[in-house]
Amino acid sequence: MDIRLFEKLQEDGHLSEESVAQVRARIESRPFSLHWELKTMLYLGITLFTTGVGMFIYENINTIGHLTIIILLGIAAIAGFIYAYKKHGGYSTQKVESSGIAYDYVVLLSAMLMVSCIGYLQFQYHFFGSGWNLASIIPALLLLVCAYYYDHLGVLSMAITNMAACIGIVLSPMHFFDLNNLNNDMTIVAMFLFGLVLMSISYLSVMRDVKAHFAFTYKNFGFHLLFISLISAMVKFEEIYLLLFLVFAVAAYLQYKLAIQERSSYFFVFMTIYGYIAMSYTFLKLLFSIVGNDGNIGMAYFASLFEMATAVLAIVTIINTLKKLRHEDSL
Amino acid sequence: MRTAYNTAQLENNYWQREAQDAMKKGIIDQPFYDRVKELYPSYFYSPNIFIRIGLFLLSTMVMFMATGFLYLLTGSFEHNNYLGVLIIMAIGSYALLEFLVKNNQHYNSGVDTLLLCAIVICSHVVIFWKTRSDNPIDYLLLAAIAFYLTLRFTDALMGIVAGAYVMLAIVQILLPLLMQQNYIVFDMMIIALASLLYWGVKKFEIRNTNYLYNKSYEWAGIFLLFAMYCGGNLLLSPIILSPFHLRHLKFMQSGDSFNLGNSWNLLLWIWMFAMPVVLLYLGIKQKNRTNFRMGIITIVLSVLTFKYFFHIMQTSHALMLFGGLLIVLCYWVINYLKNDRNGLTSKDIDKEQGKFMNLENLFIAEQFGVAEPIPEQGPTFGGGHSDGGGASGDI
Repeated sequence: MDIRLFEKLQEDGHLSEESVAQVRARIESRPFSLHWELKTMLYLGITLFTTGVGMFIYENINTIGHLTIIILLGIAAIAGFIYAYKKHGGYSTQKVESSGIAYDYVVLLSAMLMVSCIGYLQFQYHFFGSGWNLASIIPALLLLVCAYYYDHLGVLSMAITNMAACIGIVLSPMHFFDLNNLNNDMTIVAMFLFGLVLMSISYLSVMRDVKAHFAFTYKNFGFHLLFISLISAMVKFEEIYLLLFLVFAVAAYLQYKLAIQERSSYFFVFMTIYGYIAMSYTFLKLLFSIVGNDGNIGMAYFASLFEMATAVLAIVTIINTLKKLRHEDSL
Repeated sequence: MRTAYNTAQLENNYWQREAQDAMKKGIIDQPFYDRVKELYPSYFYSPNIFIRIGLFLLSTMVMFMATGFLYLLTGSFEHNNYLGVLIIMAIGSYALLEFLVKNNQHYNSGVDTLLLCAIVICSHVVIFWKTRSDNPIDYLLLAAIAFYLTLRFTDALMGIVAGAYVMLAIVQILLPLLMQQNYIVFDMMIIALASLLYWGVKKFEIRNTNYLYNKSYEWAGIFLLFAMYCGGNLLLSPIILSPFHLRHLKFMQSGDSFNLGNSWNLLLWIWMFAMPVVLLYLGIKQKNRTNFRMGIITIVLSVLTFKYFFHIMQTSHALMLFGGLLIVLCYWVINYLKNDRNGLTSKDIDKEQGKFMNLENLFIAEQFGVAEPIPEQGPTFGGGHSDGGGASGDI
């Protein structure tokens, strides 16, 4: 923040000298916040510590013993949850303000320890029998309960990724575009259905006003899963790609309307990018199936020009639509 | 030099951004901010970060397609005439950039960023494709191109690129020192020249009265601070020198770094730990967030460098110790600064929590929530036949 802004306003006759002096005093008396730096270091500390514990357990498994480790993990998780319970104001369907940075991280650390403890229990003693589904759905459900009770978006994200794992999807921002994931028929179908479920929960959260601030997290995962799975399905199930494109178009139209209604530039931009990919693929596939592509250099020219023109069209659409919505809110 | 933008608009844009920052920090309210926007209008197209990323991605697509199309059109695949296409792409990108700035007022829109990158990348490939040598003049030529783009389009990224090319040219000029194994002189020269450039940038920044290049100065300063630090870091400098095939020479020096009896090596170790501490101190004293954050980053790098060269304990022990210490330290500082002390606080007074909250959750999902999916045939646990977590030979 530049004090010269207020000096300029004074120079131009829009602010009095006293007002500038007041603003200057206010700026100078403002404390220097270390909030985000401390949060980042806390993340780093938790990551280093949990990695170290994992390595230590692996190196000393014979000496320590499995049961001791499970008990220690369980005690640490329970202790963390008890601390958070004492600090917490109780469950509410509305947003509950956090009791502080330390509280947030204790909940996060306890959730991680709980998942490790249950995973270890199953791995070593087959506590939940040989059915792995039960062992993976239980931590996911417990995480979900924790997320709602302690009102923690981070734990909610963990719950969603764990639930996705139950149905065979690796869900993380870095894995969204991992093409190996999308080479399996069942994975694509599972992604599509899970995406629909998440989008529905997001919608219901707002409609019923139950933890409405969780809606973005559900929608964010659901949106990408839904559209990536549809594009993958168009490539994978070649026989019905036109039908799938139709489904994509309907979903995209609804999402496009919703993004405009909510004035969400994030969803609008990604919708346009997914739309561009799906449309380009469908059009070119259709064209090649009609004309054929055996050594036809003219088609290569046309494909390059078409891709260029549609990308430019997508850029112009984004700029013009968001201008209309007066959504250039960075200024 | 004249910028491609209207200078008054650029200045107004700066005031609007400062007013927005002041509003976020609670110094002024919404009506005051609206009044500033009214008094200092700016009509640049400068969208938010998500739109910028989207436009950048789509523009990249257009750029690749245009390059491919040009190759096809000119028959370059048959005649190996890549350079001509790249020169056309660089000139075309520049012309398009001027057009978009003049007619559509693009300013950090994602499209202009891509075009700037395209100009530099094409120029780089053209220059190094032809010469295939590490001539400092080539780097200085590229630095001049990037510097021109910085001045013309007041772009911070190009400021960093220009700084990087200048530093690479300096490294090239000093390489004979490295060949003769005058490592310390080499390191000291890098630190001294980066410091000199940093001092120059700061001088210009203070003298700067028209606010056009504030961001460029800021980012060039950050880059040069990092270059100063890297000059004295015995692990980072060899990694950075890798493209020059001289990594082994620097590692020979690193091999000697155990010998702290060597006063020159000791000096570098002192530099490596003293600089972050000084940055942290200056960051807090001057309430300068850039210095403070650089201090944190460089101290982490220094600890990692120390761990790389001195194996004083097992990795797992070190991770637990430093992780635990960091958690305890942060917990203590958070509680200590709950109520403002000496002008410091751990509270989120900038009211930016909402802005980062969802990004933070994606980070958590990435770091801690990534669970492997269940294999279709059911799990097949167990590795090896002995105890020890599958540490037998047949795992």
